[in-house]
Amino acid sequence: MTRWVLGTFTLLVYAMVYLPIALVVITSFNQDTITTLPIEHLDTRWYAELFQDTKTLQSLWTSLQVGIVSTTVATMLGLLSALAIVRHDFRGKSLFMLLTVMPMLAPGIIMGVSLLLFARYIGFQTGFVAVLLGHVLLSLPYCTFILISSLARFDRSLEEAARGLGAGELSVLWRVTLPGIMPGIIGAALFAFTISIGEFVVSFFLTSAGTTTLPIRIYSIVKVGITPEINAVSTLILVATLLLSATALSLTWSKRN
Amino acid sequence: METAIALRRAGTHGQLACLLLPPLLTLLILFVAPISLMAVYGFWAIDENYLIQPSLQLTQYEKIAGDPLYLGTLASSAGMALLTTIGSLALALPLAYYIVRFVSPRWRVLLVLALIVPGWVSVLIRTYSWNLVIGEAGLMNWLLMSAGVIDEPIKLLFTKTSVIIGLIYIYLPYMLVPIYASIERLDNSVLEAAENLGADPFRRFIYVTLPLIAPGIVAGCVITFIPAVGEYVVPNMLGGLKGMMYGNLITTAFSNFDWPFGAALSMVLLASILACLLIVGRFLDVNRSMLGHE
Repeated sequence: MTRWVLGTFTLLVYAMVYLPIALVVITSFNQDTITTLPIEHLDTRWYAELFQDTKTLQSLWTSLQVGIVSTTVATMLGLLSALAIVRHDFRGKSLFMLLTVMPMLAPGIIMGVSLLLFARYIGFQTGFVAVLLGHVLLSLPYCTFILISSLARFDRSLEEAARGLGAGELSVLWRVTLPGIMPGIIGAALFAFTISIGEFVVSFFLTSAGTTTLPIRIYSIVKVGITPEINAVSTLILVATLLLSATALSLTWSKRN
Repeated sequence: METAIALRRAGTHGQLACLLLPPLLTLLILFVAPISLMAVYGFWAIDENYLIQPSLQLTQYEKIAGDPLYLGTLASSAGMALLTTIGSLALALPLAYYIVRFVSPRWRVLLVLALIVPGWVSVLIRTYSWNLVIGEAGLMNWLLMSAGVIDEPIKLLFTKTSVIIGLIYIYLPYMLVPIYASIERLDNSVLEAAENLGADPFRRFIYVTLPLIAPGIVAGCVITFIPAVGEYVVPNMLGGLKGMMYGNLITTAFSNFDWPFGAALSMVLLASILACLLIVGRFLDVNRSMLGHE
């Protein structure tokens, strides 16, 4: 009895989670200009229009550039933090960990606004680099914690063996530790990239006219009036995010199970 | 021997410094410094020419305390975040319980992931997608009108309710993960012992399960409530004037170039969040329940 009630409930929650997303995908194939139901003709018209829309394509390119650079930086910084936290004991370690988690908890709007104030105060131009640094800050906690867990699970006796055979510290790191936690590194990077591609609030405060990321472009289109082209963009982002995160997960989880 | 140890120690110190410095500097420059600067800005003022007057004063805070709009919006945002927390708890708890109790371990992870992965799709897109469900020409109204239940479309969009629906949708994964983890860690022998002693399922849940998974529930509530209070995207896209939240006030102040006032509003939000964390932290070891076993 309990089983069936709970099971039905669970099914409804899944329906709630997937219904809006499914609607985005379905309406992206709607031929009509207005997104209304029922849908009468299906075609790929809006995808064709999307590939003609240079502003949106430009913003996609900006997002990819910001994503790739901020992911690289955040993953490297996260790796350093994780190595310090897992491999060393130092005064203020828990304070450092708290500082690392905080950007994950603070509302995005606070970070966006304070970064804007700070940039203007020190005379730093908002734009590409500012957005990029904002994304580094947002993904750093996730990268750090993913890499902490990969490092904690890594068998240290392999490093001892390498040292015993005469390898220096850097050589141990480069030839033993890093290859050993590579799935975690790739997972952290994909996670950071996913965050960067979807991020809106912080970028909103840090963009300049020349650097529009894809979410900001979507926002400006939605604010003017919803066109089915948005559904086409969203469907593409959706598919990309699902593929990226599935890959990230299979890499970070494979060792655990 | 002693020099060897000293050398080794200097070596690990140097190593540690190399590891710590880059991320520490990043966090100090991109997080601590901007927020500290914002704290200072909140005590400054602007003159009629929109020039910053860097002299310490309480004008901004007096303005916030003087107009019920500001603290009132903060209170209503907190109320909406609370409803969001309760709503996502009501969804996550039975769901996580069902998955752990009735689904085989092989499928469990996949089922949980199936709820988390959509959460990584841009908040903007997921929020916007609710337009298609609850908008005037959306699925809900179309279904209800086709079925003849209603004649006029229900105007749900741009109300507090639509914002709360959107918030629950966005924050459900935040609630689900710690609750699922705590239910999965539950020791079955304790429940069996309760059953052997004659406790019915209801009593087992209230007296055994609930206290044991309490840390997970608290962690889920904290990491749902805190970002929900400061949420900006959801009220902006689904809220309209009726469903405005505190984040909208902050943005308005900044788009009016009244930075000291925007900074003071932000500091009030940050202080309220810290106060909530301290209160919760007094009752439970948040670190422990959020970061796992350690």
